[in-house]
Amino acid sequence: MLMPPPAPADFEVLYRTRFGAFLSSVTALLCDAEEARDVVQDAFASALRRRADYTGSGSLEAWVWRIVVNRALDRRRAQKRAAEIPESLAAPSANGGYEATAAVRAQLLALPSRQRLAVFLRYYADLDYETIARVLEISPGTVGAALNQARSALRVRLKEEAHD
Amino acid sequence: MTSDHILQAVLDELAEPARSQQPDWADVLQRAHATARAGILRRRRRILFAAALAVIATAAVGVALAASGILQGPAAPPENDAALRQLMPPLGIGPATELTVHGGRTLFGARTQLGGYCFSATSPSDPKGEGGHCLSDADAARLDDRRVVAFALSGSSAGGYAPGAESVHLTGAGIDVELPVSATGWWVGEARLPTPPLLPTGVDRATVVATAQAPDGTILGRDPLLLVQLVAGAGGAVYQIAFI
Repeated sequence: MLMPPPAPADFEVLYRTRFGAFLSSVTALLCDAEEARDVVQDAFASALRRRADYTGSGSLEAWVWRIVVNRALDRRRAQKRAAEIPESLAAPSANGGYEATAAVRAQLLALPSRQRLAVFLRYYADLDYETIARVLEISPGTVGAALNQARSALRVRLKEEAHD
Repeated sequence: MTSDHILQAVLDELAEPARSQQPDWADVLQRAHATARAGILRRRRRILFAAALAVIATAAVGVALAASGILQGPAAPPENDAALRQLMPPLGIGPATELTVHGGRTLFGARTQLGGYCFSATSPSDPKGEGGHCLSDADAARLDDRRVVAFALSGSSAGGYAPGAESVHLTGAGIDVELPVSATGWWVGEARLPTPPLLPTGVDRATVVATAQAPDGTILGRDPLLLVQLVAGAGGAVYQIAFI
């Protein structure tokens, strides 16, 4: 038996309640809020058109996240910005020279796209490991590893500063 | 300041440019409808093109075309025709017809002596289309009724019939591809499973399903084509893939 597709209103509720999380995650990935907005808008339009493809396996939010993330990764590849860190983000922060912040920022931006997205989905969207794994099509273990990598890079940097 | 606080501060900073953006659902709806309208225009152009082709084809082959039923198209090249006939000799597979071409793959179909259907597809790894698929009686009956039918073929190919559809979306077990449907309703394309296939969490099997979609987004039908199961083998768990 075919499952009825979710109603457009379901998407609208998700969009309105989670817009900030979607936009923050994609902005952090693309380092460009305007491009991120375009990706989120396009992805929701695509999800709306393809809503009949949603099979009910996993939550609707996870399904939409997957579309958003794939669009964002496509956009990132198209921009060929994978190795670039905008100067404004790579420069030391202006809060009195707390160098650890700049170091962590650089470490975070140097992570592979999917690992970085794991961090963003955890912090901005508060998704659990299972959902993140489903969205990124990686194992829950890899999600944990990505988060640990970001945290351990930070701890190493702080320890170095304590010795200086 | 703890490490988590610093990480949180960095993440806040990265997302800072997004703070001034406001949601705009009307824009989402506009984008969705704009693409749907483009799809309708594409379909109209396709219908006009198909109509022109139909006039030419009717003039050229006349009665022969009418007699070929649902399998409409030019005769298959000899090597592809021979490969499909050899697929299951006891079935008495008749002459093969070229049904559609997409992405370096060509779909061929033929009737059997008992009124069934068999199909093959070429691919970069199988240019003759030596692997194929003969429909079950139930699927053959659905095809005769002009309903949506999908099947898997060798060379990680999939094909099928979706009359009136603009596209077919293959999903499941890690496959997520959209393929165009020809004016005659036939489609073919690559359906390659990832290694390993992706099964839903806590589930030991997944089905790859073809969903046929009209230009206005209406779902015209669905048909499963692959079943992927994680089963216990002598050396541990293995993935078993079945054409359905």
